[in-house]
Amino acid sequence: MTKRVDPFAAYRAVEAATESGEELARRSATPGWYHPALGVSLFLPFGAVSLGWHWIPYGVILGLLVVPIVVNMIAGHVTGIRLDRWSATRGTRRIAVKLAAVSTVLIVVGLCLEWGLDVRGGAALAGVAVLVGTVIGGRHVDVALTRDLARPA
Amino acid sequence: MTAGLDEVLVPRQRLQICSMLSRVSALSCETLRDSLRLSNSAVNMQLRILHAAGYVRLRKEPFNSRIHAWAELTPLGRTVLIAHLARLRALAGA
Repeated sequence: MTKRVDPFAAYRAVEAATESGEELARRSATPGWYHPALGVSLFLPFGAVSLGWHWIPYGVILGLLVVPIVVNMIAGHVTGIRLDRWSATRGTRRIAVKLAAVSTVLIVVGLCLEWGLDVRGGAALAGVAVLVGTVIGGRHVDVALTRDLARPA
Repeated sequence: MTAGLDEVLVPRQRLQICSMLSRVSALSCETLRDSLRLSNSAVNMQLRILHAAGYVRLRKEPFNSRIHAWAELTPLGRTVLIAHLARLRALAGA
């Protein structure tokens, strides 16, 4: 049997779809440990540079691959929502691009300090700055994500 | 009138499920149940219908000694949802 959909029913259906987005936005709150954990994972390659050459592969593989995958997997199961928070919406992508630009500068500065000027721990210091930037950027990502998910589909 | 509307998405709960799934990579069935304030059986029934239509992909994953069910929107489901919502907006504005 075909149901009739009058303009009012259509309006109510669009409203219902929008409300479901708002409900999802309310539930999308990131666990408190999520951004600090991502920050620590990004710190690992920097820390590895300061520790020595042979630590660099471990730092890169753990920090840029293994830990982010595990952190995202656990966050997904804890919240029941699986999405790449840093690239989920236009607003969050904008923040991610800014943080990537700052991190690139910090990588160059850290490597120049560590290898160019022979400052022991220079790369680790840059890594701490990336960690702090990730936590601060993450807070902005949460705000942007909540706002963007609540928008009409 | 239902011209241009997708029959599968006409029931509000199915439309809401697809609308929520369209904003994320995947949602656990528990999250869908709690968000829409439905029973487990009601969510499962709606998901089965959406799955049969090819709009939703269902997956079960073990985590923390339990099996968790996840749902994600297929490309077909996304296309149909966009067209369905556009038609609803046109109807609502008429």
